[in-house]
Amino acid sequence: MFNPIKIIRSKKGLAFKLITSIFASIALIFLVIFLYNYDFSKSIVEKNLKMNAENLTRNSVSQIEKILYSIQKIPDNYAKIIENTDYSKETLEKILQQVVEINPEIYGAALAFEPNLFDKNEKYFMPYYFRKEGRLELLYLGSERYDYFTMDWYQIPKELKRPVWSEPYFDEGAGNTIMSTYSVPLYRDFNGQQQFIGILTADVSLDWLQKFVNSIKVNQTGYGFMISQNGTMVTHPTTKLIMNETIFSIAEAQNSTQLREIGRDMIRGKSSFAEIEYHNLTTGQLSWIAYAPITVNGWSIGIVFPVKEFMADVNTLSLRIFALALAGLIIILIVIIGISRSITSPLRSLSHASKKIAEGDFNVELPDIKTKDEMKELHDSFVYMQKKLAEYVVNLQETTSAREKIESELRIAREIQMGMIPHIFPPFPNLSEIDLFALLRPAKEVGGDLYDFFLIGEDKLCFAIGDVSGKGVPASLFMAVTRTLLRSVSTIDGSPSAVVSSLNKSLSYNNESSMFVTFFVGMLHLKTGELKFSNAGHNPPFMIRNNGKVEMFEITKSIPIGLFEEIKYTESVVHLQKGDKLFMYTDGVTEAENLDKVLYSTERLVSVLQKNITATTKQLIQCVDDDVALHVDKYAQSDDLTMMTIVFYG
Amino acid sequence: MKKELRYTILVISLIALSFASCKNSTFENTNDETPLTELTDTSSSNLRKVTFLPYWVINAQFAGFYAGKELGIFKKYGIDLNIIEFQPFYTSNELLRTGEADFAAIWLVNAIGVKASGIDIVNIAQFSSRSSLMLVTKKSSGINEIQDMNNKRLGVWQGFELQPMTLFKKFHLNVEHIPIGSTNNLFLHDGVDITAANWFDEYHSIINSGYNPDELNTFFFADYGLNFLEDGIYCLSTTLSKDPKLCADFVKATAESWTFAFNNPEKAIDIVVACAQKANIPVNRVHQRWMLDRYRDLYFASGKTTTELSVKDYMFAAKVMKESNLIQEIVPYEDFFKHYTNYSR
Repeated sequence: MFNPIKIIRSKKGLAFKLITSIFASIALIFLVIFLYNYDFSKSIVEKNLKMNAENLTRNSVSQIEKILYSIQKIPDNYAKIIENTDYSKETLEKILQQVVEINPEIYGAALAFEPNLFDKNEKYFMPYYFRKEGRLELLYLGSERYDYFTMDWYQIPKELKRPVWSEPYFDEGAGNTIMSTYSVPLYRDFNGQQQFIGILTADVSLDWLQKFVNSIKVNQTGYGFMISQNGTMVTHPTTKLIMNETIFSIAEAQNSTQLREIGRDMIRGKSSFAEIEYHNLTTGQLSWIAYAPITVNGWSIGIVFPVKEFMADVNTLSLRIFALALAGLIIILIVIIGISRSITSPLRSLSHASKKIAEGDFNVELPDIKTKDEMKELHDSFVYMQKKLAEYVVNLQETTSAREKIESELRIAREIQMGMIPHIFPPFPNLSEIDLFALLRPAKEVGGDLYDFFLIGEDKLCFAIGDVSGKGVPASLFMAVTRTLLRSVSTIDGSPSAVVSSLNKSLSYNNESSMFVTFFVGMLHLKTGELKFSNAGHNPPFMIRNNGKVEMFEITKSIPIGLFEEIKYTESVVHLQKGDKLFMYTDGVTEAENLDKVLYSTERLVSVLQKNITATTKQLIQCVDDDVALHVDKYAQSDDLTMMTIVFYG
Repeated sequence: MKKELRYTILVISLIALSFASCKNSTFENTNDETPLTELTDTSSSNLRKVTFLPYWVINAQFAGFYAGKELGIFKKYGIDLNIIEFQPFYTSNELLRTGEADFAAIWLVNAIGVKASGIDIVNIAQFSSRSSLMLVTKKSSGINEIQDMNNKRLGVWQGFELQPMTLFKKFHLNVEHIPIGSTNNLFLHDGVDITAANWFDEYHSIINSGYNPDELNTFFFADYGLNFLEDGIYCLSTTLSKDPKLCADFVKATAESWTFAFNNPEKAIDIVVACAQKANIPVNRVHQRWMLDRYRDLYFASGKTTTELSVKDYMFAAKVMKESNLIQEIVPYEDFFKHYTNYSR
């Protein structure tokens, strides 16, 4: 069954690697694209927002300033007129009346003179025209209770020697609106010197200003506000802040040094266009504040831009892109899992099948591959391998059984061969004249070496040692023939040379395989110790004398038997003393090789023989055998090895 | 170096003041939990009508009175309190003389002046224990030491020139006095170099007009040996002799009200703000909170918790006034201060 969890579960599996690496790469690419898109869109919106902020703020400032300029021009002009009048009470009252009457934007106007200036007997002179219920009224202010000389509207322009807009104030009489007073200092020429004489004021309702600033709406929750030169809130959508709070008291209440810094910049006539983030005072959301000074009166307008609202479209777009990307990723994940499965499922089946094949089940069913890709190629290779393996195994079985058969036959042949040579020692326990021991170790199952000994009559021991050319079965067969012939040709009055010649004749006849045998045959007279022997190309044996001297027999000049029918073989005679030993061997001893292809050598053999003068026959052969084994050192025996020792006791 | 040292001392003393005040926001000789049975019958018909005159508009500097009235603390003492809405042209002596005000809060030197003018008022409780009056300069003006004030212009309210005048005399400085109204605007517009300010009010207004404390230099008169005490409760001598219990009850109620206000500042400020808004007076909580906190510092300065006026404080202020020819004679201390506790039984 399709089980993605199972596929993913194996952390080292191909599917897991495919899924994690491909999926992670694609997810990363999606993320980078998503972030880039978000960042880019955000920067575009921010750029537009800043431009928008700058335009809106500048436009608002220029409109407000235009109006304020036009208003302040009225008192400015009238101040000039007043400075050049005759200063009669009537004239001043008339001018003042005119200021209010023909300028609807001016709520009231006052003229306030320095103490005792207008009338030496009167400290105060302050006519004030103002609107009341649609009519103009005149009041004379200035008294102990209304000591205007220290009032801001009077004192500040006087001290600063320039017209000044006052801080905003509430005026219930003027209809409960916020007002500001524009005060122009008046000067008169006294003996060539400009002397301050008083102040002309115009009270202006800021109703229009509040309406204008309140009309600034930015998106849904953005708004405009205005602060005076001291930071007092002049307009704000939250009306309870107006006149009660300064931007600094709000900052203190919010414990915001940032807002305080914004306020400080604002009252110092600085501008900033949407570069500062601050929480919207009404919604609490992070917003941008743009601000610019109203240079005419030193106030400052601020506009709050709800960034989140502007970013809403970007966020929606980003959210949708994110959703699409997520959906895409899910599809990709499913596809990757599908592909992984299409790869790993047959692989797993093939892996399973190969285990079965390894166990010998060549008929296991391979998965069915419908595609025509590399998987199909792999599958076909598996099918081919399965077929070839099956064939090979059948072939192998046949070969093995054949070989086993041969091996079995060879084993029997060995037994037969070994059975042909005497292998019971001591062979003649009743004979006190001699002792004899022999060893034959074929290099393969069967070998071409031979030895034999038997008594002819009562006091004649015939013995022989030989080595057939080649090894294995042919040599063994030739050896068997030689051994059989030896017994048949050895007669009571025969001599060793006659035996050898007879053997040669028989073996040479029809010897198409041109095999031959090196052969040494001896006949020892047990009573006399006379040894007659004939050597047909065999390694000369050693005579170990009873005095400890080791003598090698003469190297024969006769060729091995089995080659030429007509060859005549000679014989020699030697007398054995009591205690003399004969040591015979095949070249398997002296030519035994070690790993370095170094031969055992005749010299080494002689030295072993010399060291073991007193050894028994069996001990001597074992000593030589051990020494040869030491030399060969586990290197495979390459030739048949045969040794025979006879000791003559007389 | 000197500046920094002075600033550090100021900060440390302010912290010490605040700390002291934290420990002690209750006046002696007052009991928050006076059983009602011990008091005058509080049924509305038997309440004694009392008028009180503050010397300024509705602000947290009178939080004790407004909160006490609103929360019925005065009623608890059998007093139906009416707080006169302050008008700039009101003068304490006039209203006390005419009987329009039974009690008034007056600064010590002003009260000495009133008494010297022939109106027989007496101090029945001295709440303030430290002068809040200070001079403020902008560091940008280069006035960092008292000596730097020579030949500069000082904005000061009319009637409050005594402390600066005495200070400048002490340091032999020639400073031009510019009478100012109730705002700091002339100072903010650089129309004057130095301005007089109350720590609890104008100083904070300057801060809340965009000047950071580290941009200003402050000179507390109290730190220059001119600690003229401020708020005390005054009434006509006849009021005290006629109804000493009323006077005692009024002071007790006042002390308890202040204690409540200091211990429940938010609640007290709620009441003050509501009263101010009702009277159409611009008000903001931050400023009111500052004011109430500073009032706690000023009332309980140096750990003082009594409402007694010390002979030393009285004589010092009176002597300076006499030296400045503001008064001709020094009224004996016993005639000026008649602590309510002596008349409460």
